[in-house]
Amino acid sequence: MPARPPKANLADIGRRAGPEVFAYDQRDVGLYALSVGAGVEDLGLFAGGGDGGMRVLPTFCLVAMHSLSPHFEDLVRDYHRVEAGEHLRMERPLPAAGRLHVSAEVTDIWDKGSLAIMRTRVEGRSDDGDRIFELTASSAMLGSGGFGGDPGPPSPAKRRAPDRPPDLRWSTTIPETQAILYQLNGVTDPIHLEGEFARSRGFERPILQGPATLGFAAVALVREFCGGNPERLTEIEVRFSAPVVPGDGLTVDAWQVGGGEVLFSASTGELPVLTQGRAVIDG
Amino acid sequence: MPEPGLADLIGLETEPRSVAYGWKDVVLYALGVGVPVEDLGFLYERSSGGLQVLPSYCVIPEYEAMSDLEGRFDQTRMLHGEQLIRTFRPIPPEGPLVVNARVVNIFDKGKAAVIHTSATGATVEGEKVFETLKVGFYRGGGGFGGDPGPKAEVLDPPAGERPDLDITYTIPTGQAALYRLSGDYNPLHIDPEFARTAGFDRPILHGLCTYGFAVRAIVEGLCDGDVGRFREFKARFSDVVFPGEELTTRGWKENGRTLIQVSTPRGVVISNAYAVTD
Repeated sequence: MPARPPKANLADIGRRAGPEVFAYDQRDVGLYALSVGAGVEDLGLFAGGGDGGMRVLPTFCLVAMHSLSPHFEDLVRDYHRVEAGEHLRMERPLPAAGRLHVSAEVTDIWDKGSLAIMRTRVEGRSDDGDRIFELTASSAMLGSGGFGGDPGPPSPAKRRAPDRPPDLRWSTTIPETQAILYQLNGVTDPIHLEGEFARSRGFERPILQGPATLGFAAVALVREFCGGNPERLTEIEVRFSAPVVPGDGLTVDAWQVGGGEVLFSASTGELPVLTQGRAVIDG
Repeated sequence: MPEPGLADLIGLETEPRSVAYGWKDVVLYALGVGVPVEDLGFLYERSSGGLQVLPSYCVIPEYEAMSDLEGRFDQTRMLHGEQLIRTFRPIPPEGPLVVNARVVNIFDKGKAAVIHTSATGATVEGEKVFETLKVGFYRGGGGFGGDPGPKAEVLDPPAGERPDLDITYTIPTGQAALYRLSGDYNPLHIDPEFARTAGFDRPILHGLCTYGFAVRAIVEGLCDGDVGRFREFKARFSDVVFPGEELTTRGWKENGRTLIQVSTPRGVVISNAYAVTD
C-alpha cells in the first residue's frame, strides 16, 4: 500500500478473473466451520454425524472466492482496500466436498468523495456448469475517491430493525487465536497476526478478518433460525463497519421480519461491526 | 482367543513413505494442542526466525506411516498405551519427510498382547529427524505362547518433593474438534452418542492431544521455549481427559532426565513418563 494511494481507475470496470477451480474436501469445510465459531454443539457443520451428514455454511463461498486473489494482487498492492460489504445468494447448496469453478467481474467503481467503492460480482459453478452461488463483494478504496466519477445510486433507505427486543441476542468471546485459525482457510495477511504491521495500518492490535465476523453471525443465524441446517440460509448480506479484535466479545442481534427474512447486526461492546445485515431463510 | 499368526507380524516393516506437509498443517496442529497467540513463533509462518514446530508434531507423519501396519490389527480392540518420541533436530516447518514404520515386538501378556511399533522420519537427504515408539494394548490378543516381555520400568515422581516443572493449561471445550483436523477422525472424540456407546459420559480428548499439551509444557518449562533443546518424551496414557478440563504437567529432574506426571483435577492421566531435554 502506498502512502498516498492513487485515484481509482475506471478502466478496471469490466475486468474479469477466472474461472479458477477451487477444490475442497470435508477437512476444509470442517476447518472453515471451526474458524467461524462452530462449536461442539454444531456437529453437522464440521464433523457430519446426525442424519444429513456434513452440511456446508454458505459463507464458505467467501473462502472459495479467494482462489481468485492472485488476479487482483495489483489492486491489493496499489490501493488501500478494505472489505466494505458482501451480498451472497445461494442457488443450490454447496456439496460437502468437491470443486467450484469461480469467476469474477468488476462491475462498478463509484466515487464516494474521499473513497471509492469497487463492486465485484463473483460466481461459483459446479463441474456441470450449474450456478451454485453469486456474490457481490464491495471493497472500499480509501483515499482513492474524488476523481469526478459516478457516485453510484443513492444508498437505499437504511434497513431499520423493528422497534422491539431482538428475537436472537447471541454473545460470544472471539478466541485470541481466531484470526490465525481463519487464515488457515487460505487467506493470509500480516494484519491479522503481526502487532507491528497492524499498528502501521492504524489498528492497535491484529484484527479479525471481516468475512470471519460474518461467518460468526451466519453460525448464530443457522443455530437459531435454520434448526442447525445451513442449507436453509439461502441469502445473506451485510456491511462491515469496523473490524473485530480477537479476544473481544461479539454480540449478534437478529429480528425475524416475516417472509423468511431476518435482519441482523453485530457489535463488540458499543461498536457496531456488522450493519445492515439481512438474511433469507428457506422453509 | 489367540490370534493366528500374530507372532509372525513381528518385524513387519512398511515401505518408506514420503509424507508431505506444509506450514498450514503445522499451525493447525499447534492450534490443536492449544498454543496461545503469545507463542506466535509456533503459529505464524512468517515469524522472524522461521516457523517453530512442536516436537510432538512428529506423531502426525507417524500416524500416516503406521496406518499401513494398523490394518493388520483389529483397531476396535487396540488401546493406545504408551507413546515415545525422540527428535534429533527440530522438525522442519515444511515436508516432505520420509517415514517408515515397523512392528518391533509383540509381547504375550496372557489375555492381551502388547504391540510395540516404531517409526522413523528423515529428510529426503537422509538426515534423521525423529523416531517414535508406540505401545498398543491389544485386548484378547494374548495366549499365543509368545514372550511375555520385560517388566516396565516404574517411573514414579519422588514423594513430597517440589516439582521443577509445574504448568497448568485449560483445555478449551472445542479442543477435540480442532485437534481431529490433524488427521484422527475417530467419532469417539466428538460425537456424544458414539462416546456413550463406548462407555463415556461425553466425548473424550484424543490421547495424543493431551500428549501435545504435555510436550508444550515441557518445551515451555524445561527448554525455555526452544524446540532445539527437546530430545525425548515417553508417556503412558493412564486415564482419559475431557475437553474443558484443566491439565497440569509436573516434572522432577533426576539423573539427566525429568520424571513427568500429567493430571486433571480428577487424577493422573499420564503416568510412568519422562522427558529428556538439553
